[in-house]
Amino acid sequence: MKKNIPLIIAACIPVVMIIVVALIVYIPRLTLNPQYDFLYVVDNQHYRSNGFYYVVTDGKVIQREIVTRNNTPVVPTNYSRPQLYIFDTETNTSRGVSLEELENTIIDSHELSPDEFHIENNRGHNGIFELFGSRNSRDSMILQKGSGAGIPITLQTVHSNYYNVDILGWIINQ
Amino acid sequence: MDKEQLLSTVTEFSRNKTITARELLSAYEKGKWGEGKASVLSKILYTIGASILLVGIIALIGQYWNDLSSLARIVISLGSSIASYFIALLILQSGKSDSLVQTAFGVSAILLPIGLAITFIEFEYDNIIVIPTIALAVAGLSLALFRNFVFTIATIVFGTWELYQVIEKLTTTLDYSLRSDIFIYTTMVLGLLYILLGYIIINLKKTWGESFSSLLYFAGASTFLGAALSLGGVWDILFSGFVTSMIILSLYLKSRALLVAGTLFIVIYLIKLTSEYFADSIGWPVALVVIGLFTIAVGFMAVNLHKRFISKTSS
Repeated sequence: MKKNIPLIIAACIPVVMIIVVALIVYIPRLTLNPQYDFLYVVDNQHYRSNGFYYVVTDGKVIQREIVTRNNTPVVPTNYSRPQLYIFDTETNTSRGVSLEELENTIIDSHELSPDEFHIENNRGHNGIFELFGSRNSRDSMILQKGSGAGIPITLQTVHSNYYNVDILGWIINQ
Repeated sequence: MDKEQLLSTVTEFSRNKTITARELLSAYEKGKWGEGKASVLSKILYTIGASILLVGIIALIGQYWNDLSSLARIVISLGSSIASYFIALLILQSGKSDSLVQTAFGVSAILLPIGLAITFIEFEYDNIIVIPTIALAVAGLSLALFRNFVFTIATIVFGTWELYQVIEKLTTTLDYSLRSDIFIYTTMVLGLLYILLGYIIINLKKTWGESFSSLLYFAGASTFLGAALSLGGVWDILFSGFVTSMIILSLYLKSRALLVAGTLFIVIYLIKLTSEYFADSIGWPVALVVIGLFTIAVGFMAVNLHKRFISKTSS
């Protein structure tokens, strides 16, 4: 047994390292409690074929038509239309919402929520030295406070592509 | 006859010109390898053969890759790894050359992660963390069963890969700079782990233990000190303690590899400190003269330490 002590220590070191890192990551996350849901839109591209896109002006979401140079509306030809969603930060889920439902809703379009959260795209991380990365880490988003801990969130996307997701703002009242 | 008596006899024989250095070395090599030169030659040939085999498999795969079906791709890569493993088992059972067994196990270990990666790509399975996990499990179990060199190195390599992969997964939601720091601390811990593994392996008294533990000592010290040096700030002050500890450890373990790594990093440390804090005030020409003098002094110290404490029983 005494002879095996260095071997036992060697086997324990990576395990302890992983536990310590897990604690560093998960303990601050337990203290995070975001208070504000946010509104986002999928496929909000300003393509003429879409016919319109959503934008926040003076705290309200509006649908803006895309017009030609002659100021005539563009006839939409695209099957994929911008779709609005509300992300519930308490249940970590998204639900589709129509423009009419948002009529009385006030949206704060600042990057930071009133309780100082922001949404970070995680697509920049490609693993270790670009060698051992996993694909799913690139296609994810996090709800983060400052530069510390963050909560991973899953948004509605088109073909798991977060490039098509626009965060419109934080929901102040509904 | 104990070691001291033997060495004094050798010294006397050498003084009387009864024995030459070549004869002495030949007797040493004979004992070290357990067999004659033929064994060394067969080891070299098996290694060259295995390398050619691997290059051939890779070239073949590359040439016909697009024409192969998914099943063929998996059979060629993962299948070759499994086949090579069973060939090694058969050779082992027949009691033939150990070198051939190690070569076959080596081919299997190299092809295993490649085969697993290809299998997962073909099945469009995204979770790449599973590859090092399976590879580590196979290598670890095989090490427990066969206790040979190939699976020792495979377990260390796959274990390192697995550790980084798990840390990468755990820290995806963290801020970039905090994440980088965690990777550097992990690398420092890994460096210490390599040194500990080197110590364990040398005490196993295997034929390959001495040279492999030297490699682990050097890799461990370089990894630990390199990572610590990259942190900067307050770590620049702590680094002097780390590098001194590494030199003291080299004397305690009587390891030339640790002494070389420690000395090398003292020189790198001096260059870093001079370039960061003094080059602007004293100018680069004077800084280079100072660095040069310090390097000579450090080299002189290292040679003396080696002569006094390590050279008799070095690793």
